Amino acid sequence: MGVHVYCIVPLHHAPPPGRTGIDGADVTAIGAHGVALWTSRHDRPPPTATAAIRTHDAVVRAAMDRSITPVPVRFGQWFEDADAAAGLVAADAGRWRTLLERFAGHAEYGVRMSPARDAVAARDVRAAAHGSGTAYMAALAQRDALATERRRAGERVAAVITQRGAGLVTDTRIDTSGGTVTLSCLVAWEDAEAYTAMIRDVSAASGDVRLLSTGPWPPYSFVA
Amino acid sequence: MNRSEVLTPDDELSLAELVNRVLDKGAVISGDVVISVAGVDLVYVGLRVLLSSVESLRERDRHGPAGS
Repeated sequence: MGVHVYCIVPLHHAPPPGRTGIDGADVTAIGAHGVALWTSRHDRPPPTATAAIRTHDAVVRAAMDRSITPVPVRFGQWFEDADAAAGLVAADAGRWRTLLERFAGHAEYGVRMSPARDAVAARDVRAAAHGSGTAYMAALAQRDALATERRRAGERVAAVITQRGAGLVTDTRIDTSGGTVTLSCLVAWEDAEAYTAMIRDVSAASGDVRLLSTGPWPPYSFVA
Repeated sequence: MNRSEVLTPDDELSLAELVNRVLDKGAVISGDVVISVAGVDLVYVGLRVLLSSVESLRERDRHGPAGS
């Protein structure tokens, strides 16, 4: 049977008794040169389905507590057997231990900047597609201009959060792929309440940009 | 007006945030990430993220399996 990997944790951090993973398989720990992997065994790689994705995340979250934060592993890590998985992790064990030390006591919070004018721009382009070529090109140009404005507005709000979060936020990552600005913040548990209050304050003054807050998450965005 | 919203786990956008993180971020400990497409029940949000994941794989192929 093959092995699906959920996360990397400190050695001796065992899964809770009876903890099951994808397809109800038992979650077991495999030691690897000073760290451990939480894994489950399957006949074939799990399908990329929402249920499996939710379960993967739930197992990673089960490894989190106030003092231990796992290194979350990207969905789709599949190994022929436990030895193959442990061998690859052991080969880079120093890196995983460094990340575990850095993540300890922290969680990831996300802020997605979402303006409300996207739907209007898309509708304008669709409507213009039935008119003249000039009108269509003008609608496309308007949509692109709005997208640029949206990204810049989101980046401005992200910069404000980064500035105001100094002292509360240990690290940040910004993602502008897909036309949406998302800021991920690594926050210590003891600062989470103050962080949330700061986000509310920034949101109240963010103009047309709507802030969607998520978290706490395992630190998926801070592994690279 | 306070425009900040905290998403619940059942929100569609919350699912998108989850899919984006689990499929496109997190540690890569082997050279390959296996994601099966057949039978996928991700809707359009997932498809967009899935394409992003494939792009990430291509990027990694260009630079070699750096470990994450």
